[in-house]
Amino acid sequence: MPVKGQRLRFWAVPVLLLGWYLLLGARAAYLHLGDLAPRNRTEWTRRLPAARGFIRDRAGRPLAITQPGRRVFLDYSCLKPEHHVPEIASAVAELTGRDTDAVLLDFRSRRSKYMVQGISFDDRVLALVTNSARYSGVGLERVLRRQYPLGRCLSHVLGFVDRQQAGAAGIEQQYNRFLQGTDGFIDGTRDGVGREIRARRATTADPIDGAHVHLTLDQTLQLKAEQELAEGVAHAQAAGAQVIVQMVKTGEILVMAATPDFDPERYLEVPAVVWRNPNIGQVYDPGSTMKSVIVASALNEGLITPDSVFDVGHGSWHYGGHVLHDKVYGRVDVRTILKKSSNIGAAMIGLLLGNRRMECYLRGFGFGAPLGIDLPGEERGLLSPASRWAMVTPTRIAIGQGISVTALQMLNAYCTIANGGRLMRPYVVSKVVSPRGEKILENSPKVIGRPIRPAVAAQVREMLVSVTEEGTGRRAAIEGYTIAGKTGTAQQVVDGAYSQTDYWASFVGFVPAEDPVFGMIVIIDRPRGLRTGGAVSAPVFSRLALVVARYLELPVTVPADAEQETL
Amino acid sequence: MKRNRKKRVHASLMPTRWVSVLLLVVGFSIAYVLLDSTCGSLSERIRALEAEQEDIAFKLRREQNRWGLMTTTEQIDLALNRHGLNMLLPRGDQVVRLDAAPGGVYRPRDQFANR
Repeated sequence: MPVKGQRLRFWAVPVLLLGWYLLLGARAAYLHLGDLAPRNRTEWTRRLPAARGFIRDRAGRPLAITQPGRRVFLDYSCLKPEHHVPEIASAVAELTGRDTDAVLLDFRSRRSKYMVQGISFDDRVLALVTNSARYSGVGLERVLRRQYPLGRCLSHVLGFVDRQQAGAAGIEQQYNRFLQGTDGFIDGTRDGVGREIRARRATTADPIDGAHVHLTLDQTLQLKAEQELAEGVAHAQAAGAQVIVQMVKTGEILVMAATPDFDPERYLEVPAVVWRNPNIGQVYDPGSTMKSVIVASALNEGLITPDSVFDVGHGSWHYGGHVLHDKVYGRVDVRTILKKSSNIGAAMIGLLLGNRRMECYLRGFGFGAPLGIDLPGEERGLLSPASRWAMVTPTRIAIGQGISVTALQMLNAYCTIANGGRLMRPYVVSKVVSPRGEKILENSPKVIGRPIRPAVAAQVREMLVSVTEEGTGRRAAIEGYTIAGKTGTAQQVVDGAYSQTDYWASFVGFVPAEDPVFGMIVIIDRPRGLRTGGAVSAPVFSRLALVVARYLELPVTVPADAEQETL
Repeated sequence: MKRNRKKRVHASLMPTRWVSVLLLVVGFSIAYVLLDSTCGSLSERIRALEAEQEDIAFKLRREQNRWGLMTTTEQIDLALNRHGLNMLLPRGDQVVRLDAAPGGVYRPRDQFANR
């Protein structure tokens, strides 16, 4: 019979061993399955950035893209002692556009294990991490960055994004909620060396890329317009210039250019005032281009006809304690008032119209309020209520002084005349499309007013043709097409008084006159030497209008001699 | 008293029930560890494939951008200059347009159809 002590000794070892293993197992299970405090695991969330949507022109060509790049950073702790630091710094500097000495300074300062040097879009940057025989201490992160492949072209319309890739001006700002998309994320766990424990991933949300915005503008015409503006400014030694081309029947904007402009990728290198789109954000005195609007209004009221005659005297007219000068003399009809741009004639028509009706028609043509274009920063212009006008005010507004308008407002008014009296809402975005091709938003032509009757519009169109054929706008004429338009020359207000040296020189018109397809306005700011709209703006209009007419394949309305064709 | 009788030692081992339970627990534990190890290696593979997918998506986007930018006006102008082609826009009466067959030819100027 076994001794009692023998049984105890026999069972003690296995029981102790078993107990020990059970304890280890329980502890292992607890570590593996238990909900432990963060000190034992690393909770981790990784953001998956969404790609910002593209901005495209009306033909689908990209104007603003999202380009994948690599953020380059220095980590001194990973630097191998056998590697040559100046060589690494030089390579980093070359690929990020930084100064080599600055990179060296960062390496040697050892301030941080994450010193960002810049973003590179060059694939050679991969060698900094793959070529471990020569390089170390450098890390790369994938990033998405906004790029504008056309550089300064369309800068005022496109705008730019800030450092957080959010829209801060132009279309980027106005349509930011469509363009920005929704970032995704990964909720997971990392091990002790920072690698994700994939099996422990809690949540994955894929990023939703931004929608694409399609503009009504045409890249080819825009580039050509900017070239013409640059030449016009250089020729006139002017401070700046603007041009807009708009489709008459729909209100779509084909071209919107201005100079000085800027590079959207380097917007901080210019003063903030340059970011402003002068075509909608800057007001100017329209000068004689306002006469057409006043004449159209008076015709619509039945107060005058194209054959009505006015005696404009001998070049000066006293009214309301002020003198108005003119270069037209004697008895002239309304056609001649427009053709020769008679100040006194226009002032008399303005008086005939009366304050209340004049204000009503001006607002009916879209002046004094934003037109509602889908761009930020549109100015309303300056048009005070008729109740506050002085006695002389209607005579001055009739010749385009005492009222300030934007280039878009003036062009839109002329397009109204061209469009049978229908005032269209201007717009630059035709549609917004999701990355999968679904239409999210679509703009369509919209009539926002009818200030004059179609018959009156036709009468004014006919009168405006004579401006370019026999009047002040002869330099705006183009081969093969009839132009209807008006010149404008207005003094700028400097220190509260009209300047004798600073002028706005403008020309606004539409092509072809018989059945207008597009309207265009050209404004030159502070030309030197020749200062009138007919001398400075009309030639720019002529060159650009010919390009636009041919690009749109408009049928010629005036047969041209093929042997004499020049561009 | 009988001599040379074999002594039989009556020892009681662990009860069968307890052994069975123990073996079951050990078996499940080993199976769990093996499965967990397999999951771990699979998840590592998935992570590697995800990284590869990100890399491919990165390259795809770059390539799409590169192709998209080849048709900008500036690029076309550069190409024309490289080949010594000096082209002008034709007059409207110099353009001959063929009528499209039903469901046929692409008209690049359709974008202006509303004028």
